[in-house]
Amino acid sequence: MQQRPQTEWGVRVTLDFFLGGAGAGLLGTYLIVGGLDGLNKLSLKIIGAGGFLILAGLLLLASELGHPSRSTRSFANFKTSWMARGAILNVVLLGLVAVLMMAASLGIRTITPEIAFCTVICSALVASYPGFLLFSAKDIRRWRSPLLPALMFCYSVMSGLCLLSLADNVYGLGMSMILQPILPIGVALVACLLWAFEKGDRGSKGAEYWQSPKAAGRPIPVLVVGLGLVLPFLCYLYLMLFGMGFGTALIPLGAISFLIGSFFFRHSLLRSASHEPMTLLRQART
Amino acid sequence: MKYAMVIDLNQCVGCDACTVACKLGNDTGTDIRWGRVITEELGAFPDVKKLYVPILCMQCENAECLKVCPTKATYRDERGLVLIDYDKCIGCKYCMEACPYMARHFNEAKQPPQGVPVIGNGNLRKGIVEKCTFCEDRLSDGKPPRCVEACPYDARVFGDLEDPEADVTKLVQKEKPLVMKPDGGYNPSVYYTGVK
Repeated sequence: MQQRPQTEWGVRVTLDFFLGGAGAGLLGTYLIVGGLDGLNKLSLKIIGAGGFLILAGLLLLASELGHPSRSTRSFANFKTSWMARGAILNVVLLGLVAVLMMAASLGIRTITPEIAFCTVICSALVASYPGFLLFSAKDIRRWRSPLLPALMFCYSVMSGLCLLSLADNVYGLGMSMILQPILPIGVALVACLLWAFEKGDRGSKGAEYWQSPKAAGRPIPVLVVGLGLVLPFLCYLYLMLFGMGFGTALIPLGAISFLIGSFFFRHSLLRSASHEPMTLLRQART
Repeated sequence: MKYAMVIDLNQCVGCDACTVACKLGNDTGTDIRWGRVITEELGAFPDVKKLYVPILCMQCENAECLKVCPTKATYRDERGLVLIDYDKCIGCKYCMEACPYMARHFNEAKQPPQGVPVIGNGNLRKGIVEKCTFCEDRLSDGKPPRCVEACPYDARVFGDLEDPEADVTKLVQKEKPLVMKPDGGYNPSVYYTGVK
């Protein structure tokens, strides 16, 4: 039996991975980079946006289920299933977001270190769980890379930082000095991880898809690498080297192009995956 | 108790009687076949070898579907069979991604082409994942699975591997049969003989 393309999960799962990752990345990076100073009205907006992205991703994922009304059952097998673990982590993170938003709306200005720590850890786990989830599907060789959780994590953190840079650009959070050196280094790290991930993928349909000359004309490698990594890297490098000046337009350009690339990376990960072939004849002859 | 099936590929002619018996007996929905027969070819003319290979749930000892199911809808019963509790399944399809034998099917309740009648009530299981159960409803009555009974060439032998007198045990010991994807460590319970 020939290898068969993965068709079980489609664009709604991709969107869940993308939105959940971006939301978790935004929450985690905001709390680390600037939110520990204290809650204010702006914090309420940023934390709320992070929670909204995670919730939207979860709702999209639920709509992909055959029985969405039974989705509360999905916490049961947390001992071995990454889907159950992911569901629990997402719900816990949403609970923490609710606590933070309630505190901010009540005018409580300080976040206790315990809550901040839990939120950051939970965000990190939500950011990387799609990698573990895909990694544990043993039949799909393209996903069997130990780099995948790290890649998902880095993409999510960088998506969060890009959203934070957009918020900084719009609301003036005063984080540009911190973000300017982090962003190009982060994009370069993601590019290195993606290169290592693709280099390690030998023999699967995914590898053919990326390495075949025929794939050069296809839109996804162009969107993931060209628009999603090269363009933001150049934008952020310019900002780091030459400061703001007329470079204010480069922040949204870099952020939006990275976010588009981040979505298409996940999309290509699902689209180019395939189930391994089964053969008895070849096995008997070798 | 460890149920197993040995399929002699020298005997299988690809008539699909097993597929039809399974489909009718288990009342599966449109486009869903728990058991099917695939054709495998190797080599180039004139040295071509062609085999008809029946594929079904391999009832793995080390089942990946059991591990990944978030709701515990996939479970192993007291007879060692990997089964699905249809009331617990949420239709997330994670087990389909993890199954190395592509033996699981999502019931989309597809309608047959125009003019073709809907047979049975398989589409009532809409939104869940289903698969071969070794006809567990018949095993308690001492009957073999429907595909075994329907095979006109007796290509399939079914029984308890822990029973030293069972035909299936003797065949496994004597023939040293092959299994699909032996490197994966899944320890499937469906064996194939007659592959040369």
